[in-house]
Amino acid sequence: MKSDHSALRPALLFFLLLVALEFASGALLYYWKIGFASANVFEYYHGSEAALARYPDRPDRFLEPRTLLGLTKIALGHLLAYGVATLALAHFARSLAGRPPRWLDWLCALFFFAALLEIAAGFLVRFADWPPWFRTGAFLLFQSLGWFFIALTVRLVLRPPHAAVAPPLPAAAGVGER
Amino acid sequence: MKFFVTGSLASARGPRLILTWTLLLLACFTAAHLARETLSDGFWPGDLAAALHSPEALDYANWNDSMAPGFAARLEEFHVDLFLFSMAALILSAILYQAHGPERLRRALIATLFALPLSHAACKLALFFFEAFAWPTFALSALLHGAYGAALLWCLSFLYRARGATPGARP
Repeated sequence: MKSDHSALRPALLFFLLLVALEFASGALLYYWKIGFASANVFEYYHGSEAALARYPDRPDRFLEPRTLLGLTKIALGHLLAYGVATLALAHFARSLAGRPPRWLDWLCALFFFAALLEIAAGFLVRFADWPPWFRTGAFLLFQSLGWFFIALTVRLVLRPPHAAVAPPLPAAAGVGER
Repeated sequence: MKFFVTGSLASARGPRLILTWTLLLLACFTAAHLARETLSDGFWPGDLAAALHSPEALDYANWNDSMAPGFAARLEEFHVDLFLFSMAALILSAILYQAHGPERLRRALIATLFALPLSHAACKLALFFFEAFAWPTFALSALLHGAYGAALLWCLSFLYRARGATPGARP
C-alpha cells in the first residue's frame, strides 16, 4: 500500500469536486423544489390548500400534501447517500489531519447528526407539526458542515500538515531544565 | 484506513475475494446505467436530442421560479449520477493506485474515471437547452461506459495476475 498522499491527490481532488457539485446541485434543488421561506416549506409539506389558509397572500402552486410513502422514498436514497458521503468526508479530513484535534472529532459527530436531522426534519414538519424554519435550519446546517469539510479536506490535500515545520518536542526542551 | 482500500489486494490472504465481488457489482452498475440511459433517453445523438432537448427551455416567458419547466428533473438526474459515479470512481481509483502497470496510464485512467461522469452529466444538462450537445453527450456516454469497463477489467486482471496471487485460496 502506498502511504504517499501526493499520489492520491488527484483522485481526492476530483472526488471532492464531484461532492461539491452534489452539494451545489442539492442546494439548487432545495431552492427550486421547496424554497427557503417558511411559507414555501409549509406549502411543500402540507400542500397548497393548507398553505393558502395560513398564508392567504401567497400564490397557489397547486401542490398536494406530502405522503408518508413519498417522503420515505426520498429519505431512502438520501440515507445511503448522506451516510456514505459523510463517512468519506469525515474520514478523509481525519486521516489527512495526521493527529486530528479534538474539535474535529466533535465536528464529525455533528456532521453525522446534521445529516440525520436533515432527513428527519421533513417528517417532523409534515407529521409532527414542527415549524417550517426547522427544516430550512437543518438543511443549512448540513450544507454548511458539508462545505466546511470539503474546504478542510481540499486544504489538507494541498497542504498536508506533515509538510509544515514541526515544533520542538516538549521533552527535548525541558530535559535539561529539570 | 488511510484510503478506502488497503492491504495486499492481490494476495489470496488479502481482501481479493471481497474486491472481486465489489468489482462484479460495479460492472453490473455500469451495465445497468447504460441500459437505463439507453431505454429512457436512447443511445444515438438523434434519440438523445429528441428525448432530452427542450426547444422552449430558453424562452424565459415560460420559466417559473427562475427555472425552465422540466429542468428540475434533469438536475435531479445530474445530482444522483454524480453521487453514484463519485463513489464508484473512488473505489476503483483506490484499487488502481495499488495496481501494477504504467504509473502515468493509471493516473490518466483515474482522472478519466472522475472527469467523464462529470462531463457526461454536464453535457446532458446542456442538451436540455442546446441541441448541439447531442453529439458530445453520445460520445461521452460511450466513453464513460467504455472507460469504466476498461478500469474494471484492469482491476480484475491485477487481482488475479499480479505476482503473489495464488489461485484457489480464500482471503
